[in-house]
Amino acid sequence: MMTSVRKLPLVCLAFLLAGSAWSLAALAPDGVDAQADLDTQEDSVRVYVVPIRGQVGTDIVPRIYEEVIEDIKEQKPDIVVFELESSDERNVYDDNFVDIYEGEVFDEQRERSMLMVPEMTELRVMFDDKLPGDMKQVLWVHDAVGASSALGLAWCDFYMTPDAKIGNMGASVRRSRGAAGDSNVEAKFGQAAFQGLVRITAYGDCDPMNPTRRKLINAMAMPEMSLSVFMMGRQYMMANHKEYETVLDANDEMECRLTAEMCDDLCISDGTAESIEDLMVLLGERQFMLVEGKAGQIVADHYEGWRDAYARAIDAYQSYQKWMKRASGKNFRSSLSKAEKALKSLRSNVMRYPEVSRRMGGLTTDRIDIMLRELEKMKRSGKGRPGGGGGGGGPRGPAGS
Amino acid sequence: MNKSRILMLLLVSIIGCHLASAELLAQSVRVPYKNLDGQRESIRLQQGDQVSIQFVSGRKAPQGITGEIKEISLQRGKFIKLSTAEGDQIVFLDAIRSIEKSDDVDSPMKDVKDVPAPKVEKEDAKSPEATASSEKNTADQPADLSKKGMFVLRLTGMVGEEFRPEEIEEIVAQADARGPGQVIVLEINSGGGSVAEGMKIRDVILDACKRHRMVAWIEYAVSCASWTALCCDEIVFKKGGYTGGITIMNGRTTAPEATVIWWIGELQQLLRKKNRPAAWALPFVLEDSYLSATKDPDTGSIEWFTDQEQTGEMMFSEPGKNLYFDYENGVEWNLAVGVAQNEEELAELLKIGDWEPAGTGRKLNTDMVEAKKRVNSEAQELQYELQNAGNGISGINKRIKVYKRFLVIMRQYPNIAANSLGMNPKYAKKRIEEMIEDLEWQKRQMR
Repeated sequence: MMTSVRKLPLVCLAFLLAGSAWSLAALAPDGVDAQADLDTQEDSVRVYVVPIRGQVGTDIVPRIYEEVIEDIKEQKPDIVVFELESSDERNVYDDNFVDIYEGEVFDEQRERSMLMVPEMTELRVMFDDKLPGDMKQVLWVHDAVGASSALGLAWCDFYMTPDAKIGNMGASVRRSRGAAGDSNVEAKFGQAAFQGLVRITAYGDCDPMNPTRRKLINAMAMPEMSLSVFMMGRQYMMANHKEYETVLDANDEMECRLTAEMCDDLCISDGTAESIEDLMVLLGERQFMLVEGKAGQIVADHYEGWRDAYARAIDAYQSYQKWMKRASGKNFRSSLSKAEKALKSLRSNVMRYPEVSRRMGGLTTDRIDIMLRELEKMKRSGKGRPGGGGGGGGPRGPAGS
Repeated sequence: MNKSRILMLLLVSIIGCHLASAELLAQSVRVPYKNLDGQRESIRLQQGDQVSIQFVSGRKAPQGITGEIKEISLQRGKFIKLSTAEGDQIVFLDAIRSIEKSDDVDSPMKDVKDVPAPKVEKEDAKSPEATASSEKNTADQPADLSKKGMFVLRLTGMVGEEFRPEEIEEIVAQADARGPGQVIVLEINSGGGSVAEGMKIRDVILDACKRHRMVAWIEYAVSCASWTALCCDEIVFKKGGYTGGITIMNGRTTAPEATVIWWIGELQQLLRKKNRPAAWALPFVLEDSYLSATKDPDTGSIEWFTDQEQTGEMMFSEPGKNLYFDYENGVEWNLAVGVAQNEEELAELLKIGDWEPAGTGRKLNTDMVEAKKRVNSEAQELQYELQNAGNGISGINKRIKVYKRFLVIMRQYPNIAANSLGMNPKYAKKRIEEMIEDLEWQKRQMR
């Protein structure tokens, strides 16, 4: 025993030396191959991929991309690839999800991109203003159907996947026209909404700009506009009539939508790439390495975060309604307390994710605060809803609930 | 000998442990707290950080304290111990409403070698928030009067609400204080609003034009915001910017014919005053008009046509279309002098020469935006009070109190308050006073 105690410092020393040697070995490159790898990495172009995925207004919001921009600045890639995947017609997060009774579950009404044109503008301007000018920005469209197609035409370097579609951006124009009471106001509102979309697509105006590019945007944003095209060498010439060689949109009641193949053939896009490797080949960069940035995680966390919060908020709202109905007789106070708890839970979810409020038809914290005050008053007075007159309908609930 | 070895070992391990724990203490930790809105926030702090903390105590207004962090406890009694000029002080985490790290706060306790080199942040000239914060810094520095001041006032939201003549007057006063010949830039991002306010704005701008160079810098300016831009001497677009659609409306329909004719006349007069073609007025307002133009390729002079045959080579307006200019055709057809994305580009485009940013225009805008949020939030509560006041004497008293509060808000923000009540701003004050008088009478009758 005594001997082992005596040897203890020596054993410790041996362990320390061994540990240091191991860590040094781990740090050192693994011979010539490792050195070669390092050299290759140094020569490679660094590529950072930013997903822009889901519904405009909830999944796609500028505030999450502020964090992404900070990460991009830290990682200093040579190329930033924006992967745009947003469609009013399919669930871009889960193509395989099929309900055995209902078929594919995609609530078009709720999942259709919100007409947040100023927010989309903010997002696009942010990438232009805040990222260094020498960082090449490339858009890779996986799908851009609906309002998001304005973003789909908002980068100068623009590629698509083979199955991608782009177009139907005119919902905001239709809505604005619909809000007008006469033809003058309709022209004013409609044109203003259209110019809002043009403002976003202006960031995709290359130098030199195709003089007829605006005709394409006209046809994608305004249902009454048709579109035909002919090729002059590698340049398309478009017009909002059906007279040119190829008619792309003959329908006067729907906005134009194009496939990746059409865009590629007519040189509207710069090419079609199925994978990031294909894309890099098209960009002339055979050696590249993907930067492990935070963008993917930030976008995924936000998607899960706000949707979970929305589910909780709906539960809380239903629970609030249930307990308000039960608030009578001897259960009056306890039911009100439960309703209050549900309302507070609803408030915290709305507060944390403004997207929840949007999805619930604009149920703001101000509104919930008033509902809470109403509850407080009921508790104090021991009577039903204040104000008399049979309750007056109560607080406004979420849309569609 | 053996004992001494064991003692040595123990000593070494104790020193090691101390070093490790000292390192742990110096490590940063995330400190959670709730902000003034009750929202959860957190900040990474460590011993030695200079911080400014806002905290609440009882029902008093939030107080501030600045000092160096001596200790952070996140176990049981959660608190931050600060070393301040008045000695050590403890702030409990649940009382904290904001924490700001301030590396530049002078601290007598801080060793000079520990002070980090000043961080040179790349100021983003294009971001209004960033420029607003830089305004704070420039406001404290003495102005270099040999340079021209560029006073940028951001105008957003609805004309008459956040976008008001008062703020334009304020920025003009700031420019006046520096002397004549300054450059005042109205950075416009608005879809329009009240024509009555637009007329006041015109008077303020035209008066300021006598002493200063007034520039409209357009992100988008529709309707009355477009009118505001046309009041300025020069127009510059941001990329993608557009302006137009100056139809005068009542609700969602065009105003009565007499009003429209008056409005077109006002617009023509303004266009002429600023050396712009008066032919634009009609298509700016009405959709059933024509406008086309031809540009001489040699001289660059432009001729405008309003005939149905669209004589000009470029068509601007036809039935179904209001006149709008965007950042490309606006520059090409002489509405605007060019496109600028930031203040540097703007200064270069306008050939200002030596200049420096001046005034607090962006702060005026952020203050107004905040004020509108606040007023709208309070107005919702007041509306609720009104609806649920009841009909007894106490109910009447409550309503009188609410209306009086509206009158107080109205003194500072007349249009926002009136709009929140769904009233015409022109008559809102009088109407509310009448309602208060009526309620007072009802109260007297009940006694």
